Amino acid sequence: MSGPILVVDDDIGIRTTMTRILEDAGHLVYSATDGLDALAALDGLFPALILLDLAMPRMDGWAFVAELERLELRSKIPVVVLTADGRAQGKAEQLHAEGYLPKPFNVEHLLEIVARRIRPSTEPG
Amino acid sequence: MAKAKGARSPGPTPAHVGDLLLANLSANRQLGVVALDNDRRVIYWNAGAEQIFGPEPQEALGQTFATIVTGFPKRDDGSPPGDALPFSDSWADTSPYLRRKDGAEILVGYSISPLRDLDGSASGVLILARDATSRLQVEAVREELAAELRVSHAQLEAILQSSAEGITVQGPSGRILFANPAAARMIGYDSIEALLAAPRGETLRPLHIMREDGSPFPIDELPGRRALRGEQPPETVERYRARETGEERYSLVQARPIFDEIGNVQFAVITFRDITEPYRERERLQFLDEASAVLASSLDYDATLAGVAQLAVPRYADWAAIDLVQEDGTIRQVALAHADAEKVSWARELALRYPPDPNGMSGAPQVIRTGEAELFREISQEMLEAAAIDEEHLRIIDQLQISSALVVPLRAREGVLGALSFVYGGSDRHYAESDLRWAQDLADRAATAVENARLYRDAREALQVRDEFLATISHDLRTPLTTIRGLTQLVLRQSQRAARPNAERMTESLREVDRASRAMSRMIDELLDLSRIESGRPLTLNSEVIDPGLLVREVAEEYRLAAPRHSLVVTIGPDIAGGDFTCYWDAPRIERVLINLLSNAVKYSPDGGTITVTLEGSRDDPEPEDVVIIQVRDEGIGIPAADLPAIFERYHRASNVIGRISGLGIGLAGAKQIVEQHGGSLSAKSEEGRGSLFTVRLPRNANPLGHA
Repeated sequence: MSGPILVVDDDIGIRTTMTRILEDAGHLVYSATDGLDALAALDGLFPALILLDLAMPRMDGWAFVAELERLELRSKIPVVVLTADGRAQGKAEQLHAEGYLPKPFNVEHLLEIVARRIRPSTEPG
Repeated sequence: MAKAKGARSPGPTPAHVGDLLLANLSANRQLGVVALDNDRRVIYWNAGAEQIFGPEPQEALGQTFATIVTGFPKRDDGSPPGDALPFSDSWADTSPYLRRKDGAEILVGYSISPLRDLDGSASGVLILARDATSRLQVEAVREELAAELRVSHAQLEAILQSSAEGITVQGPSGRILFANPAAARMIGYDSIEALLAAPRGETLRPLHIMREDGSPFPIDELPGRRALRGEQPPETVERYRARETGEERYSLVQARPIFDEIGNVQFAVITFRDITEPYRERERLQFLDEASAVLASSLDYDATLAGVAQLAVPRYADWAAIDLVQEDGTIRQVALAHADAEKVSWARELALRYPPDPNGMSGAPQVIRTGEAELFREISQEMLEAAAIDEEHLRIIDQLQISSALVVPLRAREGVLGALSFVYGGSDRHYAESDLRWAQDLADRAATAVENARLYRDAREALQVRDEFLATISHDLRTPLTTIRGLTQLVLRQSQRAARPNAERMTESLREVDRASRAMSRMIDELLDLSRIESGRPLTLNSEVIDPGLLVREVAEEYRLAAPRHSLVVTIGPDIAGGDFTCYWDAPRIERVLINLLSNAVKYSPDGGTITVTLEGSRDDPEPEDVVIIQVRDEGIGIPAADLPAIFERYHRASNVIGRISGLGIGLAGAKQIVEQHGGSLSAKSEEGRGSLFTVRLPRNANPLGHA
């Protein structure tokens, strides 16, 4: 399976970092600043994976997942929780996420999690 | 007298009998026989005379009687003692004290009669004497004893009269034969006479006698009755209520049967000692102990105080209430108790219909205000009328039959926490000065419990704030750290992978790493400043000459990227924009102030909009060139008016954002501290839903507080 990755995080530094690393690994990456922004992005985009921050203004990760369920998209798109909260695993389980990645993370670990679900769209460059 | 002693005769002739008698008389030591001749000289003196009067016969014979014994009273006709003239007389008497030649004093019973010759002519006097000294001494002792007995009887009477213990003696029928004044008083009579005059069987009528626990005391079980049945009842506590005044007292009663020779109960002696005061004291201590236990049982002081109020009724009050001052300064009744739960709900409804005046000049509000206890020994009808709000209220209050009240403050270190009120209503009891002590003791214990519970709650909350703070801090530090680690690893991967890495891409990444590490370092600086401020130490400013226009522009640029949805407009006044304008500030700290304001503006306008930053010299200031004004304006959700005064407090966050926006809530407090240490000020204006305006006024030359 391949396809674009949607990174949802309110921090510019995180968005930049994720984008650069994933693009470097050959993925197609889109980013959104919060849940609302992400919902808007889903209008014309069907990501193969969503990397989701939890604490965000306007619409947080919880509310965003609820929206995905309401839109019947949740079962179709795997969600990996990306959080700096010390209780990342517990939160991911509560959210029934497909995986979690605590911040800060090891690049190898990020790529491994992503690779478990999607193949790169292009060859790494 | 040889002749008188006579010779032994062989037969029992009358003359012989006479000799025999004489011989026996001579030897008789009990009866003194003395014969005097007409010259009152001794002519006969037997062994008894020697015993009584002293001299032996040989010595006495021929002596006048008056030289041997003095003190015989003269006769009425003036004739000398021991005289029997005229000889026809004879008499018997008890002498007064007589003095012997050897000085001893004696008393005698004596008879004196003429000594007649055979022809009937008087030839002398015969004195018969018996020693009465010892017999009279016995009588004297008896006299003395009788006198002593009279005295001790009087003393016993005085003791009984003045004894604080009541003493009664009951006859077998139960009738009171004796009562001392204390007994009469304790039973409720003005005098012993009134008590003894009470109809048989009704003596104890003024009292309602109960057992210690208040249960009825069957009359046959009373110690006096048991003693009358011959039992030896143990000391018993009797509780009794005066039917007339309603006053309750306690006595320790002891009763003992007194038996006659054949073992029948003659009467019972009953003593009763009033132990009301020590008993009440013990009861109070027990009550205070129980109250302490209740107070210590939980930190939920609303519940424990309710328990204490409940403990007080009905023993110490018909009504017990506890009012506490709330955080907003209002007074709330946290506990109300009456033995009858229905009355409590009724009183609560009453309080809703007629809410107590929080500024009232008496009762709980007054006691809370002054910290002084109030005692209403006797609540009069006039007082109730004055307190009633209207006729209906008065009618309801009347039903309560309030007779007395006591209100004591709950005193703690930080002031008066509330008040504890006790009311007698419906039992016609009254509080006295002496009740203040235990009531205050109870209030002090309650206040300590409330204070401890609050301190504990505060400590818990502080810990919770601390935990949340640490969680937020670590979250906020991890965010830039994620960028630093992620991009550093990316650059490493890229440099290892390609023979000729893309220098431009790597530079971009490293610039991002730099930005993130600066953000992190600012956070750490802010944390250090915060810990200084929290421990009350001023910040040490490291001021340098800087261009404020450049500083503002750099910070704004950094933020432009972080807030893609916002449009950031920076306006710098012409006097500053020139580039020659310098300030003497701690640049990294003023940068943090600006970043705080900008990040707030971004956070609190989540839907985007314009954020305006202006920098200019003061127009209102008398010396405009010396003061610089920085303003940050957003079009966000704004700050509710109620929160505005508190936004510069540490950890305070406006009520419309809690739970929705992450952040420490420490930034503004820190920013204000930095600005003020530069000698400036930080203020905020806001309208909920329209946005906020933060204004920083800074002197160009920072004149840090304490370093002027």
